Amino acid sequence: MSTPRTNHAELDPRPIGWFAIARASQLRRGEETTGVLAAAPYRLRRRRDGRLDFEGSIGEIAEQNGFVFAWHHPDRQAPAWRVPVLDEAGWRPLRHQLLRARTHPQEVYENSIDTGHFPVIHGYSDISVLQPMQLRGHEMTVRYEIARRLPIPGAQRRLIANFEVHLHGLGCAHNHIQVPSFGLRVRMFALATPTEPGRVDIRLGVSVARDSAIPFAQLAMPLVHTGVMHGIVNDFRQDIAVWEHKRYLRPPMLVKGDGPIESFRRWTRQFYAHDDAPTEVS
Amino acid sequence: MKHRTKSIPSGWYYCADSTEIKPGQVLRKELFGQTLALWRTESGVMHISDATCPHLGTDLGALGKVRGEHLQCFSHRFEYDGAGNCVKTPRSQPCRTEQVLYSWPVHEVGGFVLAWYDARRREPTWRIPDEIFDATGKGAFVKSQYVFDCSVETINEDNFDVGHLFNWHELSEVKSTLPKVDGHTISVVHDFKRHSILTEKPLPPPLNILSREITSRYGSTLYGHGLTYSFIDLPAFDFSTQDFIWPTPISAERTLYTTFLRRNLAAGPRTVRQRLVETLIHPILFAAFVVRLRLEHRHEGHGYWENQRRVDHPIITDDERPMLAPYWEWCRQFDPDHAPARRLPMATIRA
Repeated sequence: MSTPRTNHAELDPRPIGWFAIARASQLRRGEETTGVLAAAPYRLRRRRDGRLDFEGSIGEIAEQNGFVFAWHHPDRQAPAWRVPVLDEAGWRPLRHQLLRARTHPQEVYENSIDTGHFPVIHGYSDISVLQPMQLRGHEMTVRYEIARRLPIPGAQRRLIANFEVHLHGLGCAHNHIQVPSFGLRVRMFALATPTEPGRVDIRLGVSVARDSAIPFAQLAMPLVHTGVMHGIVNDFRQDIAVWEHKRYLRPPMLVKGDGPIESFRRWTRQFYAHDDAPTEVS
Repeated sequence: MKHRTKSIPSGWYYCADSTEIKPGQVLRKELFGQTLALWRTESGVMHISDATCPHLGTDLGALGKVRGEHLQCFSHRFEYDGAGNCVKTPRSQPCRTEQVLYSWPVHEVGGFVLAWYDARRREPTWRIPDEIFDATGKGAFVKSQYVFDCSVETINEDNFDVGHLFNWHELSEVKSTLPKVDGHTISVVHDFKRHSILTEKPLPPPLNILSREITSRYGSTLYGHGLTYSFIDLPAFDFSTQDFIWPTPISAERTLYTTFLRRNLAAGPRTVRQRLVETLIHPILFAAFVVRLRLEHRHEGHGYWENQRRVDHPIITDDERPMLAPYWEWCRQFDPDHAPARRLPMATIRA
């Protein structure tokens, strides 16, 4: 009788920020697409000269790093900041995966500082914070070292990875993962886009550095890229299973070791135009 | 004036069959406008908790696991006991640990898992007596379940709304006792004639008994709004049934309607004719009852109950007043908002 449902009604479905609405290669010249961004419809069309026309809930368009980002502000204010353009030289082309979840972008990114769930949901161990969460304007950064099993079924070997999160608003995270023992560097875009209220499109784009010091790198790299992609998508699927079965609690019942959830929530309030939220934390 | 019910009356309500939750299992239910985690400890103790983990909001109904005598959240491994205390975390203790997860009062009896609902979360003030669940001399239950878009009060009003019986239940004659109120219970008995059990069209023998006009008696006792404990007697066939009718609010205006019907088995010395009737006729009658009641519940639920609204100033006849007025007055004790009594007109319409 009962269908699993989330309750994210407490969070405004129309956050301010840059949100990925398509892959750049998805829209050929003369083609048009429609969709929903932050609970309002939009239309996007690529003109014959390659530029993009837009209308609806989109305020401005930025096409960069293989994605089409749309600026959204419920009061139609102009962008106050930009998402960075990352240098693509030395990186393999992105591999993409689109995931859909019944959640809210804030839940997606709160996850990156909720250190308590890392061992339980993802099986990470020996988590240490190399650089505590830093908040600067619309940006959040944090750096961890974790140990995890190789993302290969049956593999027992553990690898140590450095994990660096760069979050720009509630729609764009580019994370950098280093596995020193393999000389491997991974770049991951995790782009959460609010569509219908309570629904999020999560666009993942994963690349590995060409200079990784893996033996027979040229031959092994496609395989490594596939393995990394598989591991990341698997981690997200584990998280989605939780996000789709949780409520956003104000205040949550925090314990020591939960990560800086209080500060993160205070920081996110700048991305809501009409958030009159009472107490965020206990 | 149309008025929708805003609140759910307090009382004991059916939430699940005992067999649905085995030791070590968790079951998620959406009832009372909330999500619940029904869980049974490894040793077999039944608990019902709010499904939202107070730590970071994980749904314990979907992602909770029983660990011994505790309910563990999948996301961060916080553990709660049956009283709702946070008893274990992988790290330090939270800011509060006592009764952080609301634990619903539970009464498990006769194979039913019941929860006490009160909008203000006050403790139960009464209980459904265990005796009525005694299975001695009773047949096996046949369960039926429906969802109706109406309140539990609307459904229960049926017992006292004599006027509707002729049209909706095709009765030809009804004689009713006055409702008897005793605290949280209210009882009534109707003697009625019905055109037939199954069909008004004459059927060939021996099935003609199913299309014959019959006299029967229906009695019901309501234990709050959550249980209508009723019986139907057919004296001509020496046949009677017992029905546990459980209307459970999914929300104030949506009801999970679950019925458990069973027949009373004859006891004591029986003649050969009686044994033949009990062996050959009663099972057919019981099957006919099940079919008939299922048709009636669907017909009445979707047809009548879902198309009714509470009227604050009802116009009722002198015949209806002694049946409906005590029921409405009885209802007020369960209303968390203490809604004002319905104003009955001084001069009522004559039937």
